[in-house]
Amino acid sequence: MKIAFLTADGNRIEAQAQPGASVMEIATGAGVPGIIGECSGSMACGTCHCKLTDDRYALVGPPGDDEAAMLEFSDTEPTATSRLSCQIALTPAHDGLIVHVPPWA
Amino acid sequence: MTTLTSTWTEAQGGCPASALGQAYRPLEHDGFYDFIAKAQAEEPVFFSEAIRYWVVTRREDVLAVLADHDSFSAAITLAPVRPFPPDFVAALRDGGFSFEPTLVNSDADIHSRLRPKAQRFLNAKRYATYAESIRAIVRDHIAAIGTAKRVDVVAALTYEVPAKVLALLLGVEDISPKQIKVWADHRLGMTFGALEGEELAEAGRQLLDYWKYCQRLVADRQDNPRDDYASMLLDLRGGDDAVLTITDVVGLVFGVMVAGHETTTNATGNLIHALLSERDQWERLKADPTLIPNAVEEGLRHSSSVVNWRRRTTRAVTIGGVDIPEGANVLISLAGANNDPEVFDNSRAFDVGRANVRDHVAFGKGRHFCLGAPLARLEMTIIMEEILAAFPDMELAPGFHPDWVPTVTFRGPLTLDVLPFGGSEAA
Repeated sequence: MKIAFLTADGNRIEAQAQPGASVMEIATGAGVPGIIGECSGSMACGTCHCKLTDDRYALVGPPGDDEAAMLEFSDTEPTATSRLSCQIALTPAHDGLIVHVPPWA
Repeated sequence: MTTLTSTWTEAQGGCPASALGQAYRPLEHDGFYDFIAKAQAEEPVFFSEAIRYWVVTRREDVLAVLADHDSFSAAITLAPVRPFPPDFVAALRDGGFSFEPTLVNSDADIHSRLRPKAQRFLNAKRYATYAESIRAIVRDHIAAIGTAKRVDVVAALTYEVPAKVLALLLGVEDISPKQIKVWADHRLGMTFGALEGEELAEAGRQLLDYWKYCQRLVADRQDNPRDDYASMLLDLRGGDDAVLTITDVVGLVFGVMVAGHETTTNATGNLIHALLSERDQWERLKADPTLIPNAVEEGLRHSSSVVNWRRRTTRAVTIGGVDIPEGANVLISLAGANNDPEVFDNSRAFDVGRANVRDHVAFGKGRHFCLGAPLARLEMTIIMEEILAAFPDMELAPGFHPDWVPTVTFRGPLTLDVLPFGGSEAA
């Protein structure tokens, strides 16, 4: 399966992904700028903030309480479809996911 | 069982005292990075008889330790590198000091209870609201330097600025930055250094003094809540000990001092020292200040202020091919990880444009990732912006060589003598 990252400067980075991996792990493995993941998926740093398109967000689902709090505290203003990419565990249904990387307008 | 008063005399299993381990001098900083490079090449995981710790130097192994919360307990993090005498511990207990774990030295249950509360205040968005206040503090200090031809940047700037920023977070006006420095110095010395006798006794008195200050502060905020850290924790607590106890709140307030002060002081001192030592990099920043955030990261990577961190094994483990028993002390070399030649090309060169600089682990990794990281970055960025604007020709004072903070864990220049307006050739 493949997922794609759209970066702040308009680049599109496609990456091979494996079910079970997190979106953050795929992003850092592919060297996507703007997704850092300093706390390795512990919801402790907010440096893997991303947003999804509406239809993809519906598929992936909303954040849990701790994740929602961390999104509120991240230095990029969260949107209605924001997630911490470390908390999105990929399944085959996510093939073709498009992930927007901050900062966004 | 791990205690918070001793790490020294635990059984360590059969410990091979290699030549490299024998040569390790944990409190010495001259030749520090040369030794790490040698260890990474020859014996990346070794045992130090001097402190009875296994030392882990390669990035891959450091990340593995930091990621494995089940095999490596954080409970040892604030234990003294050298054990406290029993009567010293008793005196602290009698004085009301709590040895209960707080954020940095707690494992799963306690940590997952405390961290989300602390994070409600200690986060990037909150820190950003202090940016202009921080800039004003920095500008005051720069103005005080005036036209001095030679100045110690640590005394004039980098020591007091983080202390004043902490005072902002804690909402306190009745305490001098120098008092915070005294408390923090003693706290660090007794935990991470090798104090003895009267020095240790004095550190204990200072520790109790600060603990009691934090108790009074929390008691005051119970009656007079403000827009500050303690007030927010008390608000979250809502009078419910199951959420947070008063001792938890005091401990979290207490912990912010060391976590947010000396670390930033040292990181900023290291950054300025490195930049002035590699003049072409200083000139690159002058020419393109948009590189400052990346230069801050390179400072954190090249010369981390927290060079080592600690864990204790909860079971027998193998790190980098070396078998380590249960109950063993592990010293994680963050400085080693940040200078691993497998990841960072020419790692001892300071490169303000280094592309993969954010792969450093100066703030740790995993669930204990530094809550103050965005604040440290903000302070360091503002300090560099203001210094470069005010003193573009700053130079190291001729012949200056730093002495380093004498602890196993922290590294930073005790003084940093510079010529703010340059002119070393004329001198």
